[in-house]
Amino acid sequence: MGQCLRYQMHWEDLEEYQALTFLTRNEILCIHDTFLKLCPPGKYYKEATLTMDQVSSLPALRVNPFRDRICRVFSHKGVFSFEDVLGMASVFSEQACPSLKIEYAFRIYDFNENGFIDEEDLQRIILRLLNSDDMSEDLLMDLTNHVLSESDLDNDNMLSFSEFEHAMAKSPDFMNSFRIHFWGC
Amino acid sequence: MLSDDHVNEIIIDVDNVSSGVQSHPSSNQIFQEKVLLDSSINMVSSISDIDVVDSQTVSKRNDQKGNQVLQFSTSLNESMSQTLHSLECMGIDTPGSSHETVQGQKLIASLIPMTSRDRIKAIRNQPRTMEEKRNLRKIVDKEKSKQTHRILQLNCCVQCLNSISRAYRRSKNSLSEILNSISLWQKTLKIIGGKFGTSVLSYFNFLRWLLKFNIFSFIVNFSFIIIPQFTVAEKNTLQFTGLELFTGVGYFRDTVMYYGFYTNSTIQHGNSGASYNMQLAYIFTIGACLTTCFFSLLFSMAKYFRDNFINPHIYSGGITKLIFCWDFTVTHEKAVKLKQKNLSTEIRENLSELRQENAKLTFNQQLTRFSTYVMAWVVSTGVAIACCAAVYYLAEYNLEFLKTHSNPGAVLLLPFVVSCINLAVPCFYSMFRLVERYEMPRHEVYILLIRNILLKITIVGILCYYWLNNVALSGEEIIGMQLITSLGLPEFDIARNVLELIYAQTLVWIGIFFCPLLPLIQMIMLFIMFYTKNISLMMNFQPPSKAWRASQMMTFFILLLFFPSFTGVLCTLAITIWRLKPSADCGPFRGLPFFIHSIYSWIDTLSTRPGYLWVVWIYRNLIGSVHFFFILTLIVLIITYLYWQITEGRKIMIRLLHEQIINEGKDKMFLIEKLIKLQDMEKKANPSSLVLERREVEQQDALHLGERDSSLDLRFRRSVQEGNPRA
Repeated sequence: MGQCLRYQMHWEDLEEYQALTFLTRNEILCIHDTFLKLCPPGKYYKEATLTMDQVSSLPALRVNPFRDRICRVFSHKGVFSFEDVLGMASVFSEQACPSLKIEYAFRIYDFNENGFIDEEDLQRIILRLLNSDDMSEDLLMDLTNHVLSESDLDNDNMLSFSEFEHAMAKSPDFMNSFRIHFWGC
Repeated sequence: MLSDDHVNEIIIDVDNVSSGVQSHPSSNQIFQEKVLLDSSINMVSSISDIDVVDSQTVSKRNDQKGNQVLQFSTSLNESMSQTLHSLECMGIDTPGSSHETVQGQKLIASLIPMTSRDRIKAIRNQPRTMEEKRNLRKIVDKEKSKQTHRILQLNCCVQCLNSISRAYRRSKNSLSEILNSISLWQKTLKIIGGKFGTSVLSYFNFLRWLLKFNIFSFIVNFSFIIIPQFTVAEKNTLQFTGLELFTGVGYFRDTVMYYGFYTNSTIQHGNSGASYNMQLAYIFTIGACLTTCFFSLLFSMAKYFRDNFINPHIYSGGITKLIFCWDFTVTHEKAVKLKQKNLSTEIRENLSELRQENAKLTFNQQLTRFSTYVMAWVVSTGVAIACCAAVYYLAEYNLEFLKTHSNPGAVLLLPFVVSCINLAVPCFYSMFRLVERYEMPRHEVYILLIRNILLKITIVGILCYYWLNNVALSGEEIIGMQLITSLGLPEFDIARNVLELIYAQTLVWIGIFFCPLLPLIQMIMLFIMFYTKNISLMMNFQPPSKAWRASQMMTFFILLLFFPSFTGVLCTLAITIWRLKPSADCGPFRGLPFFIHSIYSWIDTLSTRPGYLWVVWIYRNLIGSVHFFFILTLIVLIITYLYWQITEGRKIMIRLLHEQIINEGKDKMFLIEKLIKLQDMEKKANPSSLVLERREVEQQDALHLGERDSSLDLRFRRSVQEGNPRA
């Protein structure tokens, strides 16, 4: 695979990325290296873009059941710039604040992108999570109804952002599991 | 068209988006905003939380209502964008059209007065792209410099402070990065987390946490007890054979490992050197170790409780958590498949739990079930008591046996038996599962754990009691037991493994008074255990088959570590120090009637020196007096009671707020139904004039905005009668 022109990241850029994201210096440099290996040859890293397929096939995302949604949410116009990748790694890093994680988790789980997690979204989430073909329709409806009865506070059959946030904000399991290590170093 | 008399101004208030976090900026979405234009135009802002009145309705009806609601909201959106477009044509600068900038302006305004550190944090927390954040930062900096430009005198001071704070921040960053890089086993833990998930990772994190305790204890002991002892050490005359590594007897008896070796004198080098009282050093060092462990455990426990047990009975959210908390850290394909299988099992179990909560059993079935429970408990307690009695009699027999025979390997008999009991009886307990039928599989796990814990604690308790009554204390048995029990079972059952860790740590704490090097041994054991467990995991790839709620279990284990384990140790040590007579011919306390007399005599010597009378005063009046502790206890109880009442009040508050949310949702749905009805009525009444209106809106210049029907369905001129009083 070809490599971008070997531009070292400028010190000011590194400082800026450190200020704007939750990543440490080492993490940013590691992602920079990984990005350089994947992007097409002859381009400055700030202008190069990766396709969604390339990002989906990163070792960190390759087996994730939600990788297409992740790529969809964090990319712009179907491609990933270097800053998009940094943004994605920042949200999934350990140091990211809970509100940011909840915000992006909501966007990822909102399959039809209507601003709510409705029954259709829930069913698609469940099918992705269990990945089994022997899921009966009854079980699916039952499960969806249970989730809604637990978290839907104002009984409109959908989860708005506030309801999702309320359900997840106090859950340490969520904070610990919504993490991805993107760098190989 | 409705008449002018009835003006139904519907302004729907919406929650403020907190701290500038923007929700769902995609174009189709429905925002919650407070849009209040000039008084002449009242627009209905978008509605996001819409309520279906009856929650028991069949899904079809729900769908219909949901569709209705979404239809309405999309038509609302369309008409709103139409209105905005039309108003733009009229040259009016509506805040709604650039609601982004309204939000942005609010955000900028809130960022400017912040300190630079808070500003950086706030910008970082924004769910925006890097470009937007950069622009935001530039704008804020520009605004800020405009404001501070006027204050010229403070300019150079501000600059100094800025550069100092920047340098400080940079150094703190690099320090934390260095600490991270030398943090123990960082990379291995990441790999384990990626392959097996967070639950297995929690076991290894617990191990690392215990290791920190032991490292600290070891360092303290080493510097204050062992090094001074080395300076006056005598020559070791005994032979060294390989068996000592297992039994700890023999050669090691005359080394720093054993209490008996320590001198009771006051070490003094030269005539002018400071004197070092070994007795006091021994007691105070061990006391300091244990006190630090105590506070550290207490704070960790409090932190875990706070994070994991917030109102569990109000919002159980069991299935919701399962659905939304997929473990994103897992990067291994086999692990993902296994996790999916586990998740499927757990979901089905949870669903059946929920269904069975409603199922009622007949009286006969209940009776049989109850009697099986009782019998199982009786049998398990009986087995535990039998084991304890066996251990006690064996210990006594062992003592006499050792007196007559001097085979060093015989010392291993007691630890061997105890370890066998610890390995065999839990297997026996898990066979009860075949007989007992529990409604919830989770309860099975808990009951099994409780039985195991009871067994272990009673055995340790019996051993302590035995040791306290027989002065021939030595660390041999402790070490022997540790070594043997650590050769655990190959299957990686997290609960059993964590219990083993807690058990081992309890033994270390018990033995620390008599064998100051025990933390070092425990450190070595933990290291070995880490690598063996790691290797066995990698080779077998047998992650736990039972689903595992990592955070709740960890809280439970730390609670176990604190409550029976550590407090039991403290009690044992307290009894030792206050009631036992130290052996007369070895150890730093030889010759004293009780251990505690070393402190008494120290206080007595201090009271003769005028400069240290305050220490004596503190000792006599605070530590030694009953009134002080009584008053202290009373104050603590009062504070606890007050906090408890505050918590109760907050629970009531939460319930009331929940009801309020539901009611507001119902009100909104009611209003929307009304609006839809009116919309339909208008459509039926005036199909042509609606079209005309649209064209008018698009073409005309606005002069009398108040009369303009700015959108199709939103401006309902009816008096607010049944409207939402709370809106």
